[in-house]
Amino acid sequence: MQTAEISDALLVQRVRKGSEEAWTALYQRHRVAVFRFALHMSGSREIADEAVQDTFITFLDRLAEFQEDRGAPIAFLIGIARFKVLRILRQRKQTIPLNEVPERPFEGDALTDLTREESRYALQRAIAALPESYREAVVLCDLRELSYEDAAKVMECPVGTVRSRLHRARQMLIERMTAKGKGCLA
Amino acid sequence: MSCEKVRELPPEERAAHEASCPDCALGAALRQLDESAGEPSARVDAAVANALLSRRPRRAPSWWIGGAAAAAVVAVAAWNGALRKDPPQTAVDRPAPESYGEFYAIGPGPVLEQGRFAPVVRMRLPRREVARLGLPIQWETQITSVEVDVVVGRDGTAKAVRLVRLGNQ
Ligand SMILES: [Zn+2]
Repeated sequence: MQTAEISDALLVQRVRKGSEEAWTALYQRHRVAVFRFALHMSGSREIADEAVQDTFITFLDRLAEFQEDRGAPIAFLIGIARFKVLRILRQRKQTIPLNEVPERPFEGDALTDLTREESRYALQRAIAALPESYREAVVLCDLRELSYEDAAKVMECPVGTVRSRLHRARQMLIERMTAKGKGCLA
Repeated sequence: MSCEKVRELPPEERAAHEASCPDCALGAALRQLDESAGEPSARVDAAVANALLSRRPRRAPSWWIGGAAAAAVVAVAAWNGALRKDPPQTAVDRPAPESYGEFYAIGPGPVLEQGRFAPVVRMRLPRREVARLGLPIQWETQITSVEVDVVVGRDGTAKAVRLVRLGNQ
């Protein structure tokens, strides 16, 4: 069987037995998701790189703790990455480093024209400006597309709290990114 | 139109809906932002690839290392120039079977921060490049390239290098 067809749970079992092939497959499968979660949370590629490395190495150390029947490995990995990113950000005593997101003048409706580079910068800045708990709700649910249940495990809060934070985060992003500022949440 | 079905629509209809629905426009904008966000560096890939090996002593490494990582480290090793003969100041977190040579530090400064995990990248270097780095290769005059392990620092540059399979030559 190709490793691409093997479930995460089976890969984790093989990693426990020391399979290099399974470790490579598991890493290849989730490296981008963990990196992008850390990047959107921190606004820094340097922090995102550090978080990916620390997350996967910590995952190896904590393999005994991971229980396949209590959530997807990606939620477990992102839970570790969240802890790493928040720790780094607090160590650096800043909400989010924006040195990689230069300030640019922005005009127009960014949401309908994201092909423009300045629109992407504006959206990055709007995400960065969200309060931390709202930012992680939108990064987990809308960017990483985790289920509300998995996001609740990562955020260590009830599912209802995830929904309300996500609702508020979306409203704040829409207000910031559009002139109209009127949401129509489904 | 239900917003939940918007992603299944043809592009023109989807765009028309998004133009009048800020929520779906936001969803599409976030997905586009995510797709342009990139991926981990080759240095991180190499470090993670080596992580399992570092927990399994006395097993010869056989990790595939990304070409970009290898190329980057070779370029840095070449650029860094002459080697100091000092051994690394911190033990490398990887088994060292008897068929490996000693690590030689590259460039000034400490090789590794105390207690940090050090990724090691396996690669093949041209013999003349290895000789230029000052490694002892007089025992293999017939061969054109030499297998080496390169310790990669947290800044992505080569910190130390050792010859592989000394005992087999
Ligand atoms: Zn809609």
